[in-house]
Amino acid sequence: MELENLKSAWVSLDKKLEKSALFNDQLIDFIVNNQSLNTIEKMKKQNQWLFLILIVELLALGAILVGNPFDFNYAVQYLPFAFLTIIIFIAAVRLYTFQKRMNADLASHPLLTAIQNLLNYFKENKSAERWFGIISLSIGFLVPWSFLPQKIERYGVVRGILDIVIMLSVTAVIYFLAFRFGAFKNRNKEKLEQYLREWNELKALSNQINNV
Amino acid sequence: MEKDFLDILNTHRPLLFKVCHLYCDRSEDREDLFQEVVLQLWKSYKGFRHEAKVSTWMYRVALNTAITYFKKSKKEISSFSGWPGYEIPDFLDHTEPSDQLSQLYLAISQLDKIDKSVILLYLEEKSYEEISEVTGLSHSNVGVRINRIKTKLTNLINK
Repeated sequence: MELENLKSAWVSLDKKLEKSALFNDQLIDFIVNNQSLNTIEKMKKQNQWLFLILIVELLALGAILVGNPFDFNYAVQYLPFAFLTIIIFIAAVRLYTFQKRMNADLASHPLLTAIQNLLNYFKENKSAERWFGIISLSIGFLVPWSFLPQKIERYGVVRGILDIVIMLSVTAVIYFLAFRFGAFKNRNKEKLEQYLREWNELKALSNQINNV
Repeated sequence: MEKDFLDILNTHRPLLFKVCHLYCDRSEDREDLFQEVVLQLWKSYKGFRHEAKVSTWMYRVALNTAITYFKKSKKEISSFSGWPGYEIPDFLDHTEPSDQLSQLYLAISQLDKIDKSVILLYLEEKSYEEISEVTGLSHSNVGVRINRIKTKLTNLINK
């Protein structure tokens, strides 16, 4: 059988499909809700993964503090790692409470209100988040100094300090690249804001359909 | 603007159904893809300047979405149940699987994603120029591809 013969069967399909029901407001509502829930589900999963990573980091830092794998000789060498442990612990707690709050909001409020609440949370905590970020990054610059005594012992004062400066430069470059590529942006907030915009637009569409 | 969008959507709904049918076998997947296509259409509608034909724009968005569409996990789909009962019409006659349309559909379902989009546009009697505009393939490439697909489909149907 030739394809050309079957083409007419395909063209006749339009008549059948044109008899289907018109799109209605319920359908648009469903699509809006489903889209938003998918966004939030993705965010929740990302947070769960991030939480897991923080726990692994805490365990690794705990092992460093307890097991001394770098052969630190002075208590002060542990300080940057202790600060790092504290800051990661705080980050894990904050993430956990954020997730809990998000779940509670979603369970007790309509979706739109829950999203608005989350955006308000981001807004209220903007300054705290900023300081938390600055402190975290500063601690990153302290960590290389923990290795200074061993470096001096092994290579002498000048080369030891030079080694530390190189490590600090690498850290600075990593931070710069991370900043440049938007690693410090609150993508969750951006996604929710974008979603809220789309929601309002689609809601307007839904209302329009209701009025037709 | 919203009213216009809805009018366009309703006028061209057979187009949406055809794309969803060609790219998804299961009705749940079709519903899922349908939602995604409608959303993408809405998002791009704001930037649509009517320079291209409405149907060309719709085909481009719908086919791009279908080609790049990845199925959501079963868990994700089931957690958002509540499809409002809108039926995406099944255009196949399951009581008579040997009818011409079913044969054609089964043969097309064995093509790859890009070939599916090309043959859909060909069956919709679009010009090579329009097919080229929607798919991004060059004019000559469209001609060559269509000939190859036609041979492939004829072989599959006559098997």
